[in-house]
This record gives sequence, structure tokens and C-alpha cells, in this order.
Amino acid sequence: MGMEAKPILEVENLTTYFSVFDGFEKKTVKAVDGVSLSVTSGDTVAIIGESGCGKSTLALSILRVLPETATILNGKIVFDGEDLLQKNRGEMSKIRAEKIAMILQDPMMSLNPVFTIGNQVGETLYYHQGLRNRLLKDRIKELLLDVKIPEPESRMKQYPHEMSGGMRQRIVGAIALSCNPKLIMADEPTTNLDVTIQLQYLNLLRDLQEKTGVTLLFITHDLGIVAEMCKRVIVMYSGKVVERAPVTNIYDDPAHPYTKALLDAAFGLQDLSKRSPIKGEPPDLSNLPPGCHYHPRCERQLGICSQEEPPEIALSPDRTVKCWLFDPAHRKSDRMKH
Amino acid sequence: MPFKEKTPVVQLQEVKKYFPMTKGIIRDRIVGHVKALDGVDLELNANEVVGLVGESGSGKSTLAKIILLLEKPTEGRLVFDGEDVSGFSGNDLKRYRQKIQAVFQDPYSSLSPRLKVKEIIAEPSLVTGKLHRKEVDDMASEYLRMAGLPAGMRNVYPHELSGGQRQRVAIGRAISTRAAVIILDEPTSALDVSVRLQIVELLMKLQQELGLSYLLIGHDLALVAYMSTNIAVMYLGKIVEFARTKELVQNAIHPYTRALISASLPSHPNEKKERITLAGEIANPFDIPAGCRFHPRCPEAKEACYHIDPLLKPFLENHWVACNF
Repeated sequence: MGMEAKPILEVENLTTYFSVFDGFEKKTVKAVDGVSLSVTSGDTVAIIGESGCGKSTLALSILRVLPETATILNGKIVFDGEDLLQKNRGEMSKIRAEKIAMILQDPMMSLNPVFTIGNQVGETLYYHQGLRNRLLKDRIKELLLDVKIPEPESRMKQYPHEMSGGMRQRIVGAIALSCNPKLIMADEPTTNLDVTIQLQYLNLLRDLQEKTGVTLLFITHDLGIVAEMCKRVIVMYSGKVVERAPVTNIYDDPAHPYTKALLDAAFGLQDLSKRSPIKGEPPDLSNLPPGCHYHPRCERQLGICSQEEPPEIALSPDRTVKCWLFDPAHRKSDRMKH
Repeated sequence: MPFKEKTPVVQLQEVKKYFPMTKGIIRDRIVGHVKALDGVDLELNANEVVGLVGESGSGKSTLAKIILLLEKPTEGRLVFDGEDVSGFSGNDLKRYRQKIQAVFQDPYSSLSPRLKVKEIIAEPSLVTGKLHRKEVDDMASEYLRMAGLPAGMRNVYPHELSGGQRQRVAIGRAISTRAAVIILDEPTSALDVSVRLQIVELLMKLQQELGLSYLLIGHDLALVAYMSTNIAVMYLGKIVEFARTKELVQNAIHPYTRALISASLPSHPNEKKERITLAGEIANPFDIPAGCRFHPRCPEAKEACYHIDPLLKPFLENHWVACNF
């Protein structure tokens, strides 16, 4: 992974809105609103933010598996040189099977209770790689061993309910890996696991990345996972990217007040000092505040914050922030006021 | 575990809870027992927060159910305020449950969707006495205010509330009987990051103001350490280590506690620490390993650990460990 590494995923100005009917009127929920991002091949990137900031909708938009109420209105998703928004259903299904895999939070929901483990791990191998009989079985066993499931021969005949949560999540991992994907998106992959099992699972993902060079995209609100695994961080708030930076910058010197608030609210075992909660609750995505969406909760707001939406300001070649505090003109006027 | 200067509110003495495993067409043949709790001693003092950590399947929730008397202990005694309550039933039990309340993990399933918020809050008090409509209103307003919600919310149904607001209602209900002890079973794990800390702050404020004792069950060690005065670590139905929070975090003795601490995630990417990765998963409580129950996963297991089941022994003042070494 040198400096010349190419982006594997480029999202440009992606806009996904939900249209919901709440009994009285039709509402537009702006889940993803003009998001652009670029992920380098082989990198480990985190998208962080509270529930309802649009991070999961972003992942579903990339995979094009949105519910019927959602529409991608605008934007471009270039994955591995191909524009995903131009693909038809069949082509998309092939991409989902062969190139992009997704690991979801609850393994009991993502596994089918009426099929055996072997059946589910082998599904994509059967349909997309055309493996049959002996070859198929050997490959399934190999994958189960890759995710450290002991005795794969007997395990592949079992059903999901016969396994523990940690094992089920590893099965989901095996399915994700079955066609050697180039990108794995993991949406809160370890929320339901115990700490010791969580660490086993993260180590497993790291080993697999070293072995195959797969790109990992974590979607999480757990800053511990980000510190443990990720190299770059994208912070989202109410459907927009508010900060992007290398991971150490985020922890040492968060730029956006929201990033700082997230860090101040996180618990750490090394530091049991008083934490300060983020004020208020995330905004209603169908009725967003004017100007910067974060301003009603922000502790450092300026006059302009409630009037105009801030632009994305580059702080360094690999770092941007969407906040008026970093706009040279407003910074000066702010200082003069105090 | 005797604390000289303090009075225990709740005491568990050698508590065991075995669930029978049955077979046969009419399930009449007992083939063994799931040993959910296998001899637990624990004291909860007035005005103290005891954290209880351990993996799923270690018996944390069974312990909570025993204290709430939702399950009767198979063996051992549950003592509340110097009185053995393990055999309580009928009116005694109702009276006891006024003193001990609980807040559960999922506020979406712990509040009845058919009751208004004021009825939810007044329900524990209505069990033991009659209240006028006006009294219910006043009571709900007061406890809603204490839980940080506007009094006007007493007339709404839970589905109109957000997760954080629901959890506040559940907390209002728990304090409404002037309970001495509240069992918190993962009170924030269903909540969002920003709301989580707000609820933690509320719980800590109420604990101070009302002089409550909490038993805090959780698997997030960082959160439990943030709230607790003492922490008990459970493994397969036994407490393997018990100490003051700071002592436990900095000076853990038991290999299992050390593994839990080392497995907790860093708060900074440059924080490198020595990692003890535990092999395998927690054993089945139907079939507890002989000797020390932790030995199959213990990185430091020695010959003796295969035979001798270690007792919880004092190691330092206020620091107990159950390990052969």
C-alpha cells in the first residue's frame, strides 16, 4: 500500500431521500444529503456518527439494497472503476456477490434459520463461482477454517441456532469472504458480542485483511473500534460529512465541535474522569434546522451558523471540516467580538 | 465479605441456582442441572454502586433475578436489611418488591404499550395501596420531573417517546416506590451514544440525591467502571474477583479479569497495550469444567487448576480473588 494506491470506492455528491407518509402529510427524510468520499484500496476507514446520521443508509445506497421508500436522487458511486448507479439489477447482484460484502450487526438476522451453515456459506460459491460437490465442500471447509471455526466438517451440517453469537458472526464473516471481495462493509459488527469475543473477531478481520488486502469500511458509533482498527475517519451528522481526517488527528485534535463532543462522551477504561454528554438529541431528518444542522447543539456557534450552511474547508491535503469556525473570514470576526 | 464499617442492604450468602434439564416425552426425567449460580457471596452496601461484569452466560442476569425474587435460590440465603427474604411470598413479597426495583436493558419492551406514562409510574405503588386519580397525577409529575422529563408527558403512551425518554420513564418508575436498591441490567446498551451518557448522569445524580444502592450489570467494562464504587467479576456462576473499581482496573489479579481489561478497546489509536486474547468461549453451565472453572481458557493454568476449585479469598483489604495462584 504505497502512496500511489488507487481509490477502490469513490462516492460523489450522493443524495438519498426517504419519502414517508406519517398519517397527515408526505415528508422527505434527507438521510444522505450530498455525501462525497473516497476510500483507498486496502485501507481501513470508519464512518462514525449517532443513529440517524445516515451512515447505514449510505452503506445500503452503495450496495443498492435500499427499501422501496428510499430513492437515490443524485450522485455517482464509482467502485473499482465502474459506476454502480448505472448497473441493472443482474449486474448489481453480481457485484454484491463477488466484490462487495456486508457484515451486519445481528448475525441471527442475517443468517437464515432454516438452512444449514454449509448451505449458506456455499450459496454464492454455487451460484456465482459454479462450484459443485467435492470442490464446493472443500471450499466451504476452507472458509470456515479461515474464520477459525473448529471441526468444519460437522459444523457445516448445523443450523445457526446451534451456535453462539460469536460463532454466528464468524459464519457471516465466512459468507462475506466466500467470493474474495474487494470491499467489506461492517455495520456495527461487534455490538452484540462480549468484549473477549469482540477482540477475537476484530483480530480475525485484521488477519484476513493482511492476507487478502481487502478494504474494510466500518460503520460504527463505537470510538473504541475506530481507535483499535481504523486508519481514516469520516464523521457524519444529519446526512452530511462534517469532518474527515486520519485517525490520530481525530483523537488528538478534533476540529469539528461535533467530533469533539463525541470524543468527550466516550468512556475509556484508562481514564475514568468525568465525561460530558452531548446536549440534546439528533435533529429530525425531515425537519432540519437552517444553516449548520449542528448549531442548536453546538457550544461554539457563531452568528452565521444559524443562517448559512458552512462549506467544506480543507485543513490539510487529507483533512477537511465543515464548520464556520475554520473559515478564515469568520474566524477573524469571531475573535474581534470577544 | 464482611465490611466492618458499613451496613449491607442486600446480602447473598452461598447462593446457588440450578435449573433442571429434563428429558422424556413428558419431561419427567432430570438428566442434569444448569448451574447458573454456583455459590455466590455478595454484599451491597447502602449508598454504593456495585458493578457486575462477565460474559453472557456467566450468570449475571440470574443473580439479578434472585435479588428481585423472580427466581428462588436453590440453596443459600438472600438477606435484606438483616432479614432472610428468600422464602417470602404473598404480601411479604409485595412489600419487599417496593424496596427493590429494576431498570432493564430495552425500554421498548419493559414499558407496557397499553398504559399511559402516569399509569406506568404509579403501577408499583398501586400494587400495595389505592391512589386517587389526583394522587396518581401528582406522583407521576413529580417522578417525571426527577427523571428529567416535563410533567406534561404523564398523559402520553410510550410509543410517542424516544428511547432515551422511555428509559427515563423506566427510571421514574423505579424510584417511585422510594426503593433502597435498584438493579440496573444493562441500562444503556439499547441507547444511542449521545443519550447514553445523559442517562448515566441522571442515574448517578439520583443515586447521590436519594442515597440509593445500585447493582449495575453490564458487559462494557469502561461504562461499569465509570459508575461503580466496587466491581464484581463473574465467570460461570461464580464471582472470581471483587475489588474497589480503581484497584480492579489497575491491579487485577485474576487472569480472567486481566483478560477482560486487556480486551476492552483503546480510547486512543496510539494506546498500545499487551493483549491477552482468550482462546475459545465460555463453557456450557450444564457441564462446568472440573477444578478451576476457568482453567480451559486460562493462559496461566497449572497442574493444580485441573483439580482444585479455588475459593474467593481476601487478597488485600477490599480485594477478593478466586484463583489458585
